[in-house]
Amino acid sequence: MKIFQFSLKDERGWLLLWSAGIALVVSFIISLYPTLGEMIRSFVDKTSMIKGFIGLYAPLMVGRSYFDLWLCMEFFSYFGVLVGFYPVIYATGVISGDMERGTLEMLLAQPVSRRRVLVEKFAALLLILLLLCIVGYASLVGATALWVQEKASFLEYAYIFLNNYFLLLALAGVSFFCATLLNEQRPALGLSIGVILVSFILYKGLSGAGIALWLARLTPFFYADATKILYTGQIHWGDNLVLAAVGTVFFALALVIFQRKDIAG
Amino acid sequence: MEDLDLRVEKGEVFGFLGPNGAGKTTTIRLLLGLIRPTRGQAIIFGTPIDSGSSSLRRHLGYLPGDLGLPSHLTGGEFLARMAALRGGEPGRKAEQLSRRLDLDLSRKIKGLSHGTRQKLGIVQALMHEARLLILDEPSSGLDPLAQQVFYELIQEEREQGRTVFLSSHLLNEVERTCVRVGVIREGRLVVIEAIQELRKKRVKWAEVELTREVDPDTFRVPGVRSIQQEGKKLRLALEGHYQEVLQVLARSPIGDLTIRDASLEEIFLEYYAEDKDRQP
Repeated sequence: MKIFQFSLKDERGWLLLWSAGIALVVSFIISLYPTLGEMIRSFVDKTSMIKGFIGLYAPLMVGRSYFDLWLCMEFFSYFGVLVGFYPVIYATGVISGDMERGTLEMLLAQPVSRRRVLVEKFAALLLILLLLCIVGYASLVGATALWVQEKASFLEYAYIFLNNYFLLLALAGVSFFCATLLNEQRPALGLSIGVILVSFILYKGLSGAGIALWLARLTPFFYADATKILYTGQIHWGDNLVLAAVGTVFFALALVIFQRKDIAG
Repeated sequence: MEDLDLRVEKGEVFGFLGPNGAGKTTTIRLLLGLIRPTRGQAIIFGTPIDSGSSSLRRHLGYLPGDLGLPSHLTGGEFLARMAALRGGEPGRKAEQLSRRLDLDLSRKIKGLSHGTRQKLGIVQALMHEARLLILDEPSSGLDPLAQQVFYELIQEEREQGRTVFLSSHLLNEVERTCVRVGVIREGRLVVIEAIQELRKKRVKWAEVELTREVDPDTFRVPGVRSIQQEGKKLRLALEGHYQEVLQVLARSPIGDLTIRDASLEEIFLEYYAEDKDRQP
C-alpha cells in the first residue's frame, strides 16, 4: 500500500485546494438563493407560460421546492463535469507526466509490479474523489442551514452526490486509459479533456434538443443526470452500475496497455 | 539494438562503453524490463527479464541516465520512499554514502543542482546493497572530487562481491573502474575486451612542433604506429612502448609537444574499421 500512501501524500495540497474551491462555490451559489431565488419564484408564479414549461419538461418538479429547482439549474447540472477535471489532471500527472519526467522509470526499477503501481494510484484517486464529494455535500448542508429557510431534500441531495461519485469513477477510468496511451503529459491532458468535454457537450446538445437520444446514451453524462431524482422522485441505481462498469472497463484497458508499455523517459 | 550478446560474470565490474545514442540506455532499459525486446531475451541471476519481474528487481540497484526525481520531496524523503518500496528504511549505508558524497538530504530536490541530484541518484542506487548495480552514465555532472569518491565507492562495491554494470561514454572512467568492457556503436556490440587488452590497443597522439624540418623517418621506431607531417608539425600515433620514441624526441629540436589520449571516437573508429575489414 506504499504507492497508495505516497499518492495521497502527494495530493494533499491539491485536495485541500479543491475542497476549499468546492466549498466556496457551493456556499456562494446557495448564498445567492435568498435574493435570486425569490425573484425566480415571483417570475415563475406570475408567468403561466414558464410554469407550464416546467410542468411539461419535468412534471413532478412543479411539486418540489424552488430551492430544488435552483440547485438543479445552478449547481448539480455541472458539478460532475467540473470536478471531473480532477481525475483528468491527476491521471495524466501520475502516468504520462511521471513518464515524461523520468520518475516513473525510477519507480518501476524498484521491486513493484506495474499492476500494483497503477492499481494503487487509481485507488488513491477514488478515495480523493470520495472526499471531494463528501466535502461538496457537507458544504451544501452547511450553506443551506445557514441561508435557506425552505424545506431541503437532504437525502436526495446525498444520492445526487453519490451518483456524481460514480460519474467521477467513470471519468477516472477514461482518464487513466487516455494517460496510458501517451508518453507526454500535455497531449494526454488534451486528449482526456477533449474526450470528456465532447461527450458532455454531445449529451447536453442531444438531450436538450431531444434528438438522437441513443447517441446521448453512449456518454457517461446520460447516466449522471443527477437532477433526475428531483424530477421523478425515483432513485436509478442502474445508472450507478453503468457508470461503475464504464470506469472499470476503461481502467482494465489502461492496465493492459500499461503492462505492455515501453517505459522510456 | 541488434545481435547483442554479452555475459557479465558475478562479482565483475563491467563497463558498457559507447558514444551518445549508441544504444547503452536502451540496453539497460531492456535489462530492467522497462522496454521489451522485439526478439531475444535478457537473463539476470538465471531469470528471464520481462515487465513483470518485480521480485527480481529487489536484487538490483539502478541509476538511470536521465535521472528523474520527484522535485517536491527532500532528498531524505525520496530515499525513504525508495527504501519503503523494498520494505525498509534508508539505514546507515544511505547516511554513510551521503556523508561521503557531501550530500545534504534535508534540501528539496527542486533546488538541487544537476551534480547534487546525480549524487542523490547514486546514493539511492547503492543504499539497497543490491547484488547487481546497473548504473547508466553514473558520473555525469559530478565534480572531480565527487567523481573520485564515486570511483572509490565502486571499488568498494566490487570488493564486497557485488556485480556492477556501468555504462559510460568516458573511456577514462571505464578504465578506472572496470575489469572488462563492451564497446557498443550504432546499436551493435563492436567488441568485448579486458581493460588490460584495451589499454594495449589504446593509441596516444603526440603532436610535435619542430623548430626546423626533420626527416619524419627519424621517428619510425617501435611504438610509433603512424606519422603525419605538415611542414614542421608532426603527428605521431603511439602504441604500446614509448621508451624509444621518447629517446628520439629528446634528441629532436622540439618547439612544442603535446601528448594526449586518443578520443573515444578515435578508438571507436579504429574498432569500427577493424570490424568492417573483417566483413566479407
